[in-house]
Amino acid sequence: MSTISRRRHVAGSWLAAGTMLAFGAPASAQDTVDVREIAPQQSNLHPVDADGASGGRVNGLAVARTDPQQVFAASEWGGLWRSSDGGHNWQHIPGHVPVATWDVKIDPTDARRVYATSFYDGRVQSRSGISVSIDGGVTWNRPASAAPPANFCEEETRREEPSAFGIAIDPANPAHVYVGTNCGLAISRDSGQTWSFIDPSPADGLGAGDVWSVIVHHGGIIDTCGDAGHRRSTTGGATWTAATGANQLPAGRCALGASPYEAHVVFAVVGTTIYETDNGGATWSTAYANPSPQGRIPFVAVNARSGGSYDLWFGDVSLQRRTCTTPQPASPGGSGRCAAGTWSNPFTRQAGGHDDVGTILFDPAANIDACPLLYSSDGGVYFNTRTANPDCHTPAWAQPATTPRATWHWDLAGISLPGVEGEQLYYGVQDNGTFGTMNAGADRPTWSNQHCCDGFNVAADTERVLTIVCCWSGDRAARLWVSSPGLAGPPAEIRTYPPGNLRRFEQLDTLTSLGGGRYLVLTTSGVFVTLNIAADPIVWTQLGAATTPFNACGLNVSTRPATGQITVFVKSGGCDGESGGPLFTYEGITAGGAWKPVRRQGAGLFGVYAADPADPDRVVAADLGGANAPEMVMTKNGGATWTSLPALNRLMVGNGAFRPMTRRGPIRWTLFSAYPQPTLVAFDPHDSNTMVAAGADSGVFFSRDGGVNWTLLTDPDNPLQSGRPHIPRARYVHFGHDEGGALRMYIATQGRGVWRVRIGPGQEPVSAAPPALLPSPAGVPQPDIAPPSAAPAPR
Amino acid sequence: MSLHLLGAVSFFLLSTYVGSALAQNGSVPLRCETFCSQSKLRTASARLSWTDPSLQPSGAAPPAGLTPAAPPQLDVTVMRNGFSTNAYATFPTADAGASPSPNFATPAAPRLRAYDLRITGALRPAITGAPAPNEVVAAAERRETTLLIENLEPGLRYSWRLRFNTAAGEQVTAPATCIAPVCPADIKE
Repeated sequence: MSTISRRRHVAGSWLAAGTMLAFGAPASAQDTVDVREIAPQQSNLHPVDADGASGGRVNGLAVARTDPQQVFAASEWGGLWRSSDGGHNWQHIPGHVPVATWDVKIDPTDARRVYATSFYDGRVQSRSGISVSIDGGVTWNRPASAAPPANFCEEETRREEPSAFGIAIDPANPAHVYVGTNCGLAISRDSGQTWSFIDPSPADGLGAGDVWSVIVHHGGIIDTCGDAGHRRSTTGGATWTAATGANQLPAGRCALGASPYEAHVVFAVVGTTIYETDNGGATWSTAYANPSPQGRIPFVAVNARSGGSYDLWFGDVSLQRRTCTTPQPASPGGSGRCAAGTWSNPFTRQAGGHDDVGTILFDPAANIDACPLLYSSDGGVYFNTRTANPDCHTPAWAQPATTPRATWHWDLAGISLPGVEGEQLYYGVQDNGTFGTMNAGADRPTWSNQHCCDGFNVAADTERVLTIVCCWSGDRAARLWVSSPGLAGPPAEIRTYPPGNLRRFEQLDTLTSLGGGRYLVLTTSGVFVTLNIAADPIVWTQLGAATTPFNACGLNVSTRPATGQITVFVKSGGCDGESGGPLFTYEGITAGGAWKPVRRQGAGLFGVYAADPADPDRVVAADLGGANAPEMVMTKNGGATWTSLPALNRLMVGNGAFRPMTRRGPIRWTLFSAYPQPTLVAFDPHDSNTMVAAGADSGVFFSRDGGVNWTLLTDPDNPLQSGRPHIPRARYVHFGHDEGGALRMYIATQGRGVWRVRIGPGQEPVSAAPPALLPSPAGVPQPDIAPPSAAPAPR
Repeated sequence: MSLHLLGAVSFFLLSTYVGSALAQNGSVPLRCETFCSQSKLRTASARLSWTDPSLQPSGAAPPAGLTPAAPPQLDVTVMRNGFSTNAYATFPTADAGASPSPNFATPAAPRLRAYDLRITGALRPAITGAPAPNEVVAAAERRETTLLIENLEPGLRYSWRLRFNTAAGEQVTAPATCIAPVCPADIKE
């Protein structure tokens, strides 16, 4: 049972939702629950390195033609965001519940009508795919007809687990809206009220597959691309044409852009290659070299310029522009329209914008020479400080005052400090680097963004913080750094590495502090421990053999209080927690031992798991191999027997609202496959009867009685109405306790930033203070931060 | 059963699975998994696995006409219906690790980046050999042969098939399709 006590909106950010929850036994008193976003609102590294960022992965952007201050952003894992001041301050949109969003567009004649697309949301009755708002993005609806008919898709799971991609609005008839989906092309001719589905490649007999991009131009010509390569319709979708044989456009993720002056000239990005057709898609004979290939997401755009020319904008790692011309008289065929040009200097890191392009947005009020307004990337959204033609076409991007906070975390660690505000907290995020704060308990923590790029695992003791950062060219792409508390000072790379390479791009933990300068690290060669990270050289000792457990990840450590005996846990394979692998334990931290499997009869392939920090016999895990998989189970005797956790299992699937295991859900890097709901389970090291768990789509759960009873802390269904946020894909937690008896859980997510959940008597203090940020590290003194003095709580 | 290892075994060991697909409607099921290399930045790879029709459990005689199978040819396309429209490339698999140039079914076809593939290794069941890691042993127990291919173009939909020359004539697997993953690496400058 829960009631809403308050909801606040402070400093442009969705901050708090206090909720009174009655927890199950043994707690009988009511506690106040406060769920608050504490993510940094800017990067203090950005002024000296434009790849320092805090926004996370943002793909689509939209601007209202009738009010260019109204802009929307679609983030890859953190839902929709909006700004009412032209992109300077961004707020999350809680009314749009699907969180893996791809594109967003605004009706050019009515700024209240907004279209958005999203990837499958894990629900049995899905809300993902196509969403429409008629109130400016406050509330959203998935029209009943926005689902393909039965036996229409390449596989039926595409209908049952819908995803949608690019959106196009016919400029000649804005009531005609086209959306690429994972089951063909969806068309609405009544401004999104009703939809029908078309397979652009009906003759191949395969059923409708992915249509990633659609454009509508020159009086209603429709071009699509995706699993069927390129398709063109000049009949409103009734008939389609395409190239054949080796002249086709390759199949896959793609983006399209059309010449503003020639209907038969279309540009396409598929994979990392830019193609051009000059005959309406009959052949794709021109290809342009990608100056910075990686393949983040496909992006290409055109922008009409005066004098009959136009700009071709392309982005992969960096954003590039080149000038294209139109032959006179315009006619199909001929040479590539942009072949004579060269790519201009990249307009990303060198121009104030983070690398890894999402999209670019132009001034909707201008038909010719429209200035680029906004740009999205792995760092969030940036606005163009050059606002006048022609300077604006050589953009100089600036970081918003309040960025979106759609960061994808790879780890989280903390150190408990005394006082209400005192708490060291550290995390690594996808392409936004590493962050640290010394006052994570404050209303607005003060964050330091130390490194750019990929911040992976983090660990800390009272003396130092260890971070794994990527990527350097050469043999050692990921490197281990030691920093002072708070990540405030300059980091130092360790001098002596253990054998193998530090593991990269994995959700499960590979670095852990044992306290007192002792650290465990996993590499591609095994599990290693050092008793003194400050030594020179560092002595690394391998635990067990190099090849067993194979592909080890997911470090957990348990220490018996009576003896101080350490037990190390790792998982073999399935290093994102989304596929199963066996568990192994190792007694002690000296060489010569052997890894022993932790078994469960008939299954024993686990996803996410946690070992009780004070009792190695007590393990809770997501069993992904058993008859009831995925199933949350617990052992209290080292795996001899396991029991199911029925209350948690019910919450994991929202009492039937969510699929326990998807079949075509979004995994990473815009791939679709199966994923289980469980993304997190953890014990509070201070009180192992306190536990937290999370589902990818179903929210964050809490238990105070050792896992018997569980309470949903978030709202995956109606966060706008309830005021409780939806926190998807929570993957990490750090527990802190203050003197007042309150528990604070710091939770980091894949794509929805970092949160603080306070549970206890009283309420969180609230101030209207502006976002706190350390000065940039370029020679600016750091603020006076008290050194830690409390007993550490290493993770 | 132990293994004879060809090519870059370390590549196999240091990889991370991120996606899979399965095609099984032929006499030789072909399975495709894609993943990002743990040892090479920005490198998308595929693992193709099949059960060699000439190998039988417990030394049983193989089906008539299927002995012995020479290393198959590997066909790959990134086009819709590419196999039926001769829009595919063919790689020999006998010299794994040699990065062979493909032959194109349509010789005048554009040389797409998508076909700049490297066959970096193969794992094939054999009679003798050194002890192998757990996963490889499991593969051997299934009598699978595994081909490791890298440098896929990220985001493309790859379809693969194998062609075996046997005494009974050419045998072609049903296509297996998988999406090449994006393997980001944000380079520090």
